[in-house]
Amino acid sequence: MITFGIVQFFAALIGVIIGIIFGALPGMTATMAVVVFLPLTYAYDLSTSLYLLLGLYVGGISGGLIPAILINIPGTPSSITTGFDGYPMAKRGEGVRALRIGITASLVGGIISLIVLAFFTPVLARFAIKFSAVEKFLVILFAMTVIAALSRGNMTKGIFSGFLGVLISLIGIFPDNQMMRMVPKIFADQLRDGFQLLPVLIGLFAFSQMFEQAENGMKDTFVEEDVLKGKQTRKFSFKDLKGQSINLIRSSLIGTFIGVLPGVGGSAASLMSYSQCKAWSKHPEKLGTGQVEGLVASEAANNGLTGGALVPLLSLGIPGDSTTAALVGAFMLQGVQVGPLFISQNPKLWYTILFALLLCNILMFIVMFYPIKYLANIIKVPMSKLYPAVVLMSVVGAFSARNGNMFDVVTLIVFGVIGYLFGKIGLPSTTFLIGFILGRDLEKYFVDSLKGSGGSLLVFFQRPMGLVIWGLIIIFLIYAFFDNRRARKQNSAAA
Amino acid sequence: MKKTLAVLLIAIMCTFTFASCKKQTKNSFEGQNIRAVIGSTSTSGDSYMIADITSRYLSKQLKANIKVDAVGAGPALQTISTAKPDGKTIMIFHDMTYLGVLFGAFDKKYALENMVIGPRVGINPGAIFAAKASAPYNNMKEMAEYLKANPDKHARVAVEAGGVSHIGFISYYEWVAKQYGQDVADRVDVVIGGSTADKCQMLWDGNADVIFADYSSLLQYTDPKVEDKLRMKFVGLLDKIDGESCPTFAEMGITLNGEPFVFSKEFIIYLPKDTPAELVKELDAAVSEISKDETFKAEMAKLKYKVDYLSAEETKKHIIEKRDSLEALIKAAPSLDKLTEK
Repeated sequence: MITFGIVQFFAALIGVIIGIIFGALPGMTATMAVVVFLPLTYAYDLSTSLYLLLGLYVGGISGGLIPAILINIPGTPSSITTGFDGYPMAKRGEGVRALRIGITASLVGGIISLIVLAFFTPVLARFAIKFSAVEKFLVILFAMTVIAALSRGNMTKGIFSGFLGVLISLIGIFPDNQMMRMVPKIFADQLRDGFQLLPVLIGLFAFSQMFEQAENGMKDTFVEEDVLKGKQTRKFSFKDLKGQSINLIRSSLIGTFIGVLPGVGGSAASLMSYSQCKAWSKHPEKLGTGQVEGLVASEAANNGLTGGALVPLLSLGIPGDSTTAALVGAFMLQGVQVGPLFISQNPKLWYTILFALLLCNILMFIVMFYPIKYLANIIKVPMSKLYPAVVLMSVVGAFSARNGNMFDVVTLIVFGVIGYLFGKIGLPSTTFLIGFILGRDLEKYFVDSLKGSGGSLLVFFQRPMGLVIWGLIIIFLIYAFFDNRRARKQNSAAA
Repeated sequence: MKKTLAVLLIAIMCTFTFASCKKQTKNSFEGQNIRAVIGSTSTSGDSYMIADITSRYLSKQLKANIKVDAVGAGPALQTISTAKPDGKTIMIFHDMTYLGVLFGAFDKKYALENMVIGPRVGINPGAIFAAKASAPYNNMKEMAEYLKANPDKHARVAVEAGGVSHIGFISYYEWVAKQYGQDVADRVDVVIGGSTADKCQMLWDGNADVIFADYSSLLQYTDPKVEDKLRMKFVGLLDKIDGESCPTFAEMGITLNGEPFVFSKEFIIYLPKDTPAELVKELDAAVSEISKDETFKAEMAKLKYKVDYLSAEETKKHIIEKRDSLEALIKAAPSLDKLTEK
């Protein structure tokens, strides 16, 4: 029924381990891991190749939580929200706890998305086709509402910063007519495809922190001194996830749902999930201060993406995200077409994929859960020793993001300075980054919607599914507006 | 003493002779890491597939390690324009190399004259237009006739700016205008599509009536077992594909300057300007050698690609002639901006 043996087991294990390393290194992603290993898979049969590639995929998505939690640098764009609550927990001396909560949530997210993939693929495929450019635009707009949620008490600056991110993301070529925009002629070559996400992300998170510390004086370690001397304030227990079951299921399903929609980036999954977690939380004001629910929402969603993104790939031939787009190459190199007839014509391969995904999720959990306590000690390393290593990794990561492009290293430094200046004038870097991540997709689906409607803006209000999403956006924005007012009142009362 | 000296001299001469013999048998690429950039970021399109298969066979032939980097059109052109001419960087790319410049999508500094044109490795004749299976026409000639008979109808064709689909569309548009009148041509609308996945979704969403993509990537959707919502039919080929019954542009009588319009994507190895002729010659010989390999041919054929070796010298002459013949058409044709304004 399935292809499995010792070779496949080790292919999955190696894939998971290497994937985790790629995910954990700032500047490297799951997609890069799959692309790098793609040519090697030709030497194996398709089943064995898939064990390796799915291992890289699951490991790559999961590994991103490590630097996000420990040093507040998201290893991958989809783990951007992981640091919101994970890093404050690590600073409180709960690094191992935060990591294990994140890993467990990742496993649950991966398994739920696998169940959805196994049982609902044909139904979801039909549903995904009904999602036109209009609905995709609205889903991305919905994901952007997280900007409002994150700007609590500072709404104007948060929204300004978010839209500035959108504007900066549009620098470069406009694909529809291949014309450059907002690019000085002297940078026409370097900025043809705009600023790259990974150097921007690392610059804003890692380099700006360093510039700040250079000004204010460097702390000895990431954690407070009393935490360093004492033991862990709280250890991980599976009871930590008590009361999180709805959050876990909701976040996993949001991740899966975003994965099912082709062309909506993986980062939208964790952003939307975090945003919903905040909306449903009993203590939304505490999110961002080291709450388990925020961490769970982010990690369950980004791993929920893995199974979801395989739905359109295996049932329509359309990849759900950038990593599954790279996976198509493995099928094609072996002469197998993924598309509407794939499951009926390749049942053995289909069941092998499901099993491989299950195995990779379990291996990810085992490989990360137990050894993570040793890795967590990284935050106890003196910053004077840790920062040079972070700088080195960041520069190498930025340089390799586009196979050796020095301009991306310059981008890294420039956005480090921008992040530092944002801190000075009180503009949040996080909302800028969210705007930057979602900006290109937002524009693409806006333009695609207008192409389909012949330029009529009414198209955004004519489809029932679109109206439902509009409703959700409005409800959430009203909630965020009142929450912001409440926060401002609390702040002025405290002052 | 003399005898010892003579033996010593003979030994030295022999050493040099053998050493030089060894050097002669070793090619300049042997043991080198070679970066092959391609003009696409996709690892599932024809650019990656042809580059990957070719580089695996070339690696064996040259005893080198060739790695394909899917960097995209702009970065690939930039890379090949700025790389050192030492044979460690090559580009494997199709006609978009010069079409992008002709359409103004890429700067003139990336013109063919600013790089060394190496051998042609193969062609992909599978550039194809497809419509929904339920479309009221079976090919693009019928589409023009359908538009003529139904003055209120439009046909939206999804193409990629500056790509092969762009040239295919222009040739069709010009032909329709000549054969059926400007009114009919004006109702052949352009919508800009990106990747194959994007274009498929445009077709399924009803945002395009005809899309352009690679034959092998759309073939599965033409299977009668595919559900109606997804099923497609081919309505026009730019070149003949063995075993495919869909008519080509030439068979439908679509002409360009009075000549039947035939267009295959030609995959050529490009090298940085000033690459020594010796290196190009060695690469040329290696491509010539692998093009005789039956397993290489079979692997390419599996994806409907054809191994079609042409020496570097012949390729240069051919591709520059091809570019020049298309230049006039592109200059005379309305721009996509104008066509999308309709």
